[in-house]
Amino acid sequence: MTTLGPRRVHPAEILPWLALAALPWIAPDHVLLGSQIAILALFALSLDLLVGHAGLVSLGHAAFFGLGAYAAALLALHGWSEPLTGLAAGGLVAGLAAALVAPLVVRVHGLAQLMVTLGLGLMLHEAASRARVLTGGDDGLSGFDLSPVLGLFPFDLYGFTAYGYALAVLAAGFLFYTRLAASPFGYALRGLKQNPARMAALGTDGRRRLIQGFVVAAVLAGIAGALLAQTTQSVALESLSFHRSAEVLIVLCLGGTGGRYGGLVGALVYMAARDWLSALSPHYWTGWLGAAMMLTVLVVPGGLGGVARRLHGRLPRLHRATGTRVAAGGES
Amino acid sequence: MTAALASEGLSVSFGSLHAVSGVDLVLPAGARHALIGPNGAGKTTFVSLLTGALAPDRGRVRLHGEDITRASVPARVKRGLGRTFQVTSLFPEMTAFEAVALALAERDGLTWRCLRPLARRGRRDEAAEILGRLGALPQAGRPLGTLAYGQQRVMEIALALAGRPRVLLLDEPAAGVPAGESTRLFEVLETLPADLALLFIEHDMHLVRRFARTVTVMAGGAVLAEGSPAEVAADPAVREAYLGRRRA
Ligand SMILES: Nc1ncnc2c1ncn2[C@@H]1O[C@H](COP(=O)(O)OP(=O)(O)O)[C@@H](O)[C@H]1O
Ligand SMILES: [Mg+2]
Repeated sequence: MTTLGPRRVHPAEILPWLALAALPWIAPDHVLLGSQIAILALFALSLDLLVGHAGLVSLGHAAFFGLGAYAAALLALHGWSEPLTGLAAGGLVAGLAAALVAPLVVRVHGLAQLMVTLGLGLMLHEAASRARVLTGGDDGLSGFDLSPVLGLFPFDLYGFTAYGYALAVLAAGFLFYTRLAASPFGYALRGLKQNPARMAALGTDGRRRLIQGFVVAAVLAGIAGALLAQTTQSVALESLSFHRSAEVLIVLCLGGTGGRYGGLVGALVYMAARDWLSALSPHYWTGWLGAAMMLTVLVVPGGLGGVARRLHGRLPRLHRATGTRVAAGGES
Repeated sequence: MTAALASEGLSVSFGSLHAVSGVDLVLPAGARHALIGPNGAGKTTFVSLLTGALAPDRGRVRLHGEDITRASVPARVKRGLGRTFQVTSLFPEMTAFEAVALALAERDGLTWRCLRPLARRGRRDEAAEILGRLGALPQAGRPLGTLAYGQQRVMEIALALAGRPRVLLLDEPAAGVPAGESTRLFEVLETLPADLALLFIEHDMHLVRRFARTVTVMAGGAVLAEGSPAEVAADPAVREAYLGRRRA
């Protein structure tokens, strides 16, 4: 008879995914851009677990993206070329690092939290730039090969496999995010954002729950980073830079926080706008991008994904009032 | 038998203000105990000391005999101590149903199956049962932030009940609720398990007389009197405290 916070999946939601899957046939020369969008969307989705759900802020989320990227690249450089285990390694390394710093991050709030995450990100960036032996410093890492995905799909020069791989991982991350948002864990994170004192009165150890949330988000970011390293077969120092932390925050603001399409819409719009504006005005495109960003935030404060959600709200809902579903029936 | 909840010499000061000083209180299982006293008497502060939201300067708190003076808020909740807030404190963006289901999930703790939906069957039924008992089913699907004030007060109780507490502390559950509705709110409390120890802060003496079996009167941070509603109402010191205030 009613909805649960995170909206139920509507059958029509398959359409954008079908469109994405058809990209290599519709616009084969755009698959590279498509891969970048998929990776950025996954990265933004991971940040949204912090910003949109747990109510944490971060200016250093690229640290985990970069760690994942380097972990996957190093693994491949040292002869382990199977891609899926490389992804897992990226997530694992990022998650371990997050578990180390999370207690520090969730201790503080607001501006102090921005500073802590920013500081951690800058320190890691500096460390990576000095550890040339391991990271290649400013040159980054490249020259590694990956074996075919699932042993079936070799990476090709046109980037078709890379695109399919990135899209599949994004879809998996998207499903994970959707389930998490509808789970007690997701609700607890939002509960901590809306009213931490009440969560304590429900018996929740808020700090511990936020640490868990931070680690989960970092794992997802690490997977996104590993995906970038694998699909481009290189890692640059830039992957854990402040610039990238800021970029993903912009993407999330564009797309809107707290909804499952925010990251995807944001990444799509951001990359398309960047592509288009840089062709239109090679020198001044960042200025135009800035103007476009401000306009979005002013005109649609909830982000572009919020517009999609409002439209979605008008569609008739799956399992509407099916008798047995007492009071606000299931997500199932 | 050990008391469900007991405080011994509980005290806290804010600067030079002795907000709570040396309060002893014993709640046996099944208690229906009212805590009254003029505004600023220290009632809410006392409840915060019991729940762990505030740390005392002196004294102890025992829950079922166990010293919980140093335990955190969530740790006390896990041991069966529930509370509601004087100032409504809910999750504005969650529906009534979601909030209760979340409270149930938190009571049961995270498991490895934590990715299953919040609203799965067992929990759905239990949440519906709690909302139904409080007459809140019609609002189940509405965000708490959009509910009428009286309905939000009911939800305060619903969230506390979801934790299945053995001791429940209600800080002015009917504050700001129209007179007719507040009686109904208290009637709901009569349906609580008989062995639950209930402490409620309430200003309306009619409600206190009707629903409390014991009353503690606080003034200036200390206990002024304790006894049955009739005894307390007849106590000269109590009359003095209230009349003194009225004159001021
Ligand atoms: N956090 C605080 N800091 C300073 N003074 C406080 C604080 N909380 C309560 N007080 C003061 O302590 C006294 C008791 O307050 P309170 O417990 O809210 O009274 P009651 O609930 O009986 O009306 C009041 O004088 C109040 O102003
Ligand atoms: Mg009070």
